[in-house]
Amino acid sequence: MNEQEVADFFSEQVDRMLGGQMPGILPEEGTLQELLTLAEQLAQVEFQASPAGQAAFQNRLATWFSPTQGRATSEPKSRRWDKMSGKLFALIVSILVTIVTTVATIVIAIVVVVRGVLPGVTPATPIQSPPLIPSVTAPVSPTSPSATETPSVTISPSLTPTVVPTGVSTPTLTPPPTLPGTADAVETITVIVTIEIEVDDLIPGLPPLDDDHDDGGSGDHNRGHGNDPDHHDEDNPGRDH
Amino acid sequence: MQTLAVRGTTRQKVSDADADLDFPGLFQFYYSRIYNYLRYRVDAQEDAEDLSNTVFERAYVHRGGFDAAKGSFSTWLFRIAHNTLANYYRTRERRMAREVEGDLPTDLVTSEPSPEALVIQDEAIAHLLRSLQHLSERDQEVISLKFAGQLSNLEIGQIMGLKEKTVSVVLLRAVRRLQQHLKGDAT
Repeated sequence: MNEQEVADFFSEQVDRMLGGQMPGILPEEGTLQELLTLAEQLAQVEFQASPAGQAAFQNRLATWFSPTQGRATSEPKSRRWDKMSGKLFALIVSILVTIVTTVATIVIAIVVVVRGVLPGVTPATPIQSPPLIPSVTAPVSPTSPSATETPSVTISPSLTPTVVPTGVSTPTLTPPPTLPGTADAVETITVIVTIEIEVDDLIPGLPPLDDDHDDGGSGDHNRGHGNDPDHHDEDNPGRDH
Repeated sequence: MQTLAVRGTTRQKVSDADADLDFPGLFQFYYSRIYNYLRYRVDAQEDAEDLSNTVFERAYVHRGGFDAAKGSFSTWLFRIAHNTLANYYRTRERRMAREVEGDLPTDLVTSEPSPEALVIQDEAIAHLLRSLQHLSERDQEVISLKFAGQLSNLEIGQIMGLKEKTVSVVLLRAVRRLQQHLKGDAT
């Protein structure tokens, strides 16, 4: 037997010994038998922890695996990190949402303020409204001599929807001064201005606009984007209708 | 399934499949073996108890990392003990000779009923333990894992990073050297 075979046989006998079985028949007596005797002595060496040490271990076991304390005292690091990362993620998301909301609010406020400041948009609206009232209401009035021609205006499909609101254009023009910066007000005023131009062009015999009625507050109401047939706002070139 | 025995008596059987089911029971079951293994390698009983607690604390904290598909629970636990012992030696000087020459450790368990035989055996064991200290770290480790830890050669190989066949040879040579020390003709 070479050394590997002797070693394998020795280990096998030791395992049998540790398993409570008697060693097998030795292929050779002598040194191997002495080694197995020594191995038997080694297997008999057993130490035992002190009662205090064993009690401390039992206490630790009870603490670790008790249903209430075990989870709280020593949770695996991976699970703790998972919880922490989840909270951290939620915190980051909430911060981002707050930042985005704040920035959006600021941008909207800036846009509203800028539109309110620009001369071609919001400030022109309340100034334009007084001279527009007679020009719009005149053709719609049924007592007007030109009212007989009004149907010709309403015949036009494109004018039909626009003429109807002009009858109520007076109340709609009133709110803009109180809400000069709102987008809705801008839209409403834009529609009214468009109506005025079209009505002026299509109704014959209507007196031309008197420049004296213009108080000159802006002086360029004809320059507004509502006057542009292409509906191009020169003050806001990027905002076409 | 591994059979665990001490002093010729089959004590308990534990299935590796139970490893991920009953940690308290497994800790309880392996405590004496872990302590015995550590006590083989350290001088003081208190140190062995402290190291045992450290081993099981680490096992408890990292119990989620145990994978029965990768190895047995005993291999996993004794690897923790092996590493804990290595850390212990790194932080302390190499252990010296036992404190009281010729005296048996107080935590040594003997089972021989005959007082006369008990004395003879105790003397032999005391001599055996003293001789163990003269072996190399590797020899002490393989003997401790085999006889105190009662591990198979495959498990010892997984812990020490050796092949199963190599463990057989290392174990045989270690016991031979121990025998030579016992005879007083160590080279």
